[in-house]
Amino acid sequence: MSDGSGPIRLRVVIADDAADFRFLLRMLLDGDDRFDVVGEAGNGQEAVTMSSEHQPHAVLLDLAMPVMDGLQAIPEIHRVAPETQIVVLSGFEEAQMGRRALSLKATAYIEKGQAHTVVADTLIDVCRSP
Amino acid sequence: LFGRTTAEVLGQQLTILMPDRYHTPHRTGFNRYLMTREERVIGKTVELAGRKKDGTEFPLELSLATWDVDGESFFTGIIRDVTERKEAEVFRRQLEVARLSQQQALELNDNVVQGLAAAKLALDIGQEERAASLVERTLSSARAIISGLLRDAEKEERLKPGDLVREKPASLDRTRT
Repeated sequence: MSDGSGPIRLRVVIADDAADFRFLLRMLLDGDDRFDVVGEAGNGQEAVTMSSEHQPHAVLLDLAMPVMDGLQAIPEIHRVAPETQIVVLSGFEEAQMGRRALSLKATAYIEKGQAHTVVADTLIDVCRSP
Repeated sequence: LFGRTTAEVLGQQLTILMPDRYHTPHRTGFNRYLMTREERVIGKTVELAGRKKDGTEFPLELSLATWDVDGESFFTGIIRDVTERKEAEVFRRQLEVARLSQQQALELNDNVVQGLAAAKLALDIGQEERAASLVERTLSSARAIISGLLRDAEKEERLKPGDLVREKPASLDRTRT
């Protein structure tokens, strides 16, 4: 895995049911040469499939999604892509859902609406950590 | 059922099994029936409260029947303790309320929080037009949600003048607790 400072770009899958939000996240990460968005998923099931296919460094995972929600998807992603770090990016308050997501072995929890730099910094952090 | 032995109730007034508030209606109703033979409770199953020996009340279901032999009237009552059923009903109502609150919370998250978060991200990365459009759409979907939530109250005319008086002025600076 990259140490975040080398030429290797972090491969990221974006999973969010809101197309607007996916588009903006892609825009954010496409404009940052540390990242390579390898897939976009509109629900938890697609996130699992794409994680299995691409074995990304990280998945940015929303929680409230159709078909399979983020909490259901976390263990499934771990099963099909054990090296992939899961960063939950959700509209729910961290106080409410953070512990739940982390207990399922998500690596980090970000509330939507925080400064956009938090997303990139967190992705770098979780992929750099051993 | 009532925390009393057969010997304790045999030959006693029926009212010892009832809360005080039922005593007068019971006597009035009983006398009225004897005078007029008009059946109000008889033949039906009614829900009432019973009183145990220690004074505690419990919900019961009572079915009354009567018959006459040689000019004498006889009554039987079949009584069932419905405490568990009542508790189950209360629990089910609480569950329904909880489920409804959860649905409403998810709807607000999906439409309002997501929309505003997307608008903020759009602003952050210099997508002003997209941000404005997201704010507009979020505003109309928030209005639609609120209309939906208030509609039921309006239907029952529960929303009265004065119900919209807030305790505090509307503020976006509500800090987290």
